[in-house]
Amino acid sequence: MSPRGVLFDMTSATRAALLLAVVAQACTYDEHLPQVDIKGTVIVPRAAATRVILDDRTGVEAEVVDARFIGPVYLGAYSDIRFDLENYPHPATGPIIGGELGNTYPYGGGTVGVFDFACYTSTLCKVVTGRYADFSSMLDFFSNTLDQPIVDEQGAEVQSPDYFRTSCFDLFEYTEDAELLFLAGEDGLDFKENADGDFEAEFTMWRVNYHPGMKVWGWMDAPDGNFDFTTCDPTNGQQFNQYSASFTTGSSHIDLLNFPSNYIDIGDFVVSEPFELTYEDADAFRAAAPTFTLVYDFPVEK
Amino acid sequence: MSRLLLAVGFVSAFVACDRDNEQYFPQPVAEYPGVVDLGDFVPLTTSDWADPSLRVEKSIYDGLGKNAVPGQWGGATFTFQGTGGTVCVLVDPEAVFWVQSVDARSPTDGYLCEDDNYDDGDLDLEVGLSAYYNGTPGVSIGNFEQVYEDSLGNEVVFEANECQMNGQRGQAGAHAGRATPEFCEIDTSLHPGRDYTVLLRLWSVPADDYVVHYAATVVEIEAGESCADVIAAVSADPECALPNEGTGDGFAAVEELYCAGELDSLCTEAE
Repeated sequence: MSPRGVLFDMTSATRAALLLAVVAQACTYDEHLPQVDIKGTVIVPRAAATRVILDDRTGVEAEVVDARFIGPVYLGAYSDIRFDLENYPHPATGPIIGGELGNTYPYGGGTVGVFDFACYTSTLCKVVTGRYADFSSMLDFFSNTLDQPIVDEQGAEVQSPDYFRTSCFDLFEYTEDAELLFLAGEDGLDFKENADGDFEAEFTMWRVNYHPGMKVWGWMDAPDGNFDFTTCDPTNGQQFNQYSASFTTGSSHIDLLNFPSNYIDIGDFVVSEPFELTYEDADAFRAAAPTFTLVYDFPVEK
Repeated sequence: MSRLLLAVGFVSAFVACDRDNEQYFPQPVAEYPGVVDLGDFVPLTTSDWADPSLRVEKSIYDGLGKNAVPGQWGGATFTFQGTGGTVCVLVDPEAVFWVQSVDARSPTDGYLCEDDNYDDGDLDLEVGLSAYYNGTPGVSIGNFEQVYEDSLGNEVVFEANECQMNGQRGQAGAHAGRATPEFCEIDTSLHPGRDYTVLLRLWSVPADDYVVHYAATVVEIEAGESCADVIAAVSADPECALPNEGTGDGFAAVEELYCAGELDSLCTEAE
C-alpha cells in the first residue's frame, strides 16, 4: 500500500466501480413511508355511457352508447362505508358542525378523468380528460351527439379542428397538442368497452395514507341533461384576464371527497361494494403489490 | 472638542434609556378581569332588535382587561340556547373608527382627523356548541378544537367554531381588524335547546387604559335573512347598530357624529 492510502492504489476502473456501488446502494434505501399508491381497475356500467338522444332531423329517439358520456370517476379511501346515511352507500362521517354535513376525513383519493378547460367558455365545466382523442372527436360529440355545438367567444360555432387548435395555442401560448390535457389521443383514452359491454379503466390513487382496514369507495359524476356536472365549480380554476375577456377555467370542487353527498345526484353511479385493505401496514401492502377492481354499480335514483 | 462630543453622546445615550415604552405593555386592571364568564344570554327577538332602547337594554355592555396570567389568552364567554333557527351574533369593540393616516397597508397621506391612536381594542368572535368548547368559563380561555376518532381509531382534530367570516379575498376563517365589529350567522336548527358558547377572544387592549369596552348581542334571524340584513335593517354601518360601547371622554359624541355621517366635521383633508 502506498503511503497515500488504499484509494490511490486502485485503478481508475476500480474506483469507478466502487463509486457506482455506493450510488446504487443509495437507491435501495427504504423510507418505510406510511403512504401507498393503490392501483387497479374501475368498471362503470354500460348504462353510465348510454343516453337517449332525440334526432332533430328525424324526430326519432335513439339510444346512444358512448364513453364520452362518462364523467369524472372519483375514488376515496375511508375508515368505513355505511349504508344508513344516504340512499346510497356513503363513507362514515364525523360530527355535524352547524348546518354542515359531517366530514368524511378521507385518507386519500384519486380520479379517472378531471375537468379541463377546452379553450372556449362554452366548454366550461363540460370537458373531462381522457374522453376525447382529438379536436375532431370533441367537435363531433358536442355538435352531433349532444346537439350543443362548441362556440367561440364571439358566439360562432367552431367547426374546424384547426381553428380550435389555433384558439387553444393562442390562449394558452402552447405549441403542441400534447400540452392540452383534454386531448388524450387514440391510445390515451381512459375507458374501453369490456366483454360484458361495460366500460373499464385503469386507476392509480397516489400516496394514500395507509390504515389497515380502510375501504376504497367512489362514485361517477354523470352529466345532467345540459351536460353539466355537479362536481365542477365554474368559479374555481385558472383566472384569465385578457383584454375584454375575463373568466375562470373551472375545476372540481375542493371538498368532493370530504363531503360527497353534497355532490352526488340522481343519475350518478356509486360503488356498493368497496374493497377493504387488510394488509398489516404500508410495507406489507407494498410487498404484496395488489391490484383491485372497483365496480360503480349502484345507480342513484333519488 | 472630541471630549466634549463624547460627553454629549454619553449623556444622549442615557437620555434615550429613559424611553422604556412600558406603557405599551398592558397591565391588569382590578375592576376588569381578563377572563370573564357572563352566564346565560337570551337572544333578542327581531322586535327587540328593531327598538333602539330595547336593543341596547337587552344587549351586553361590558369591559375586559388583560389576563393577569402572563402568556394566556383573555376573553369573555357567554352562552345562549339554540332557538331552532338561525341567529346573528355581533360584537362591537371600542372604538368607533380607525384613523386612516396610520393604516400600515394603505395610509391616506395627509389625512388629518382628531383621534386617539391608543383607544382601540380588538375582540375576535368565535361561536360553537358549548359541548365542543374546551376552555373553562371564567377561569381560562379555550377554543372549539376537538378530536374525532374514526372507526379505525385514527384521530382527526376538527374545528367546531361555527362563526365563519370571510376575508377581503373571500377566504374563510378571517377576523376583522381592531375596533371593527365582527358578526356571523349560527344555524341552530340541528340543535334546538342546546347550549352554544360565544367566545370574545381578547386580541388587543387599548394602550390608554388597558381595558377594551365592548357591546355584544345575539339576535334571532327570520328565515331567508342574513346577519348583514339584520344589521342593515337598523344601521347602515355595523359600528352603529350597538351604540356607545366606549366609555372614554367624548366617545359617545364622536360615535354619534360618525353614525350620522358627520365625522368630517372633526377631520380635514390636507391640501
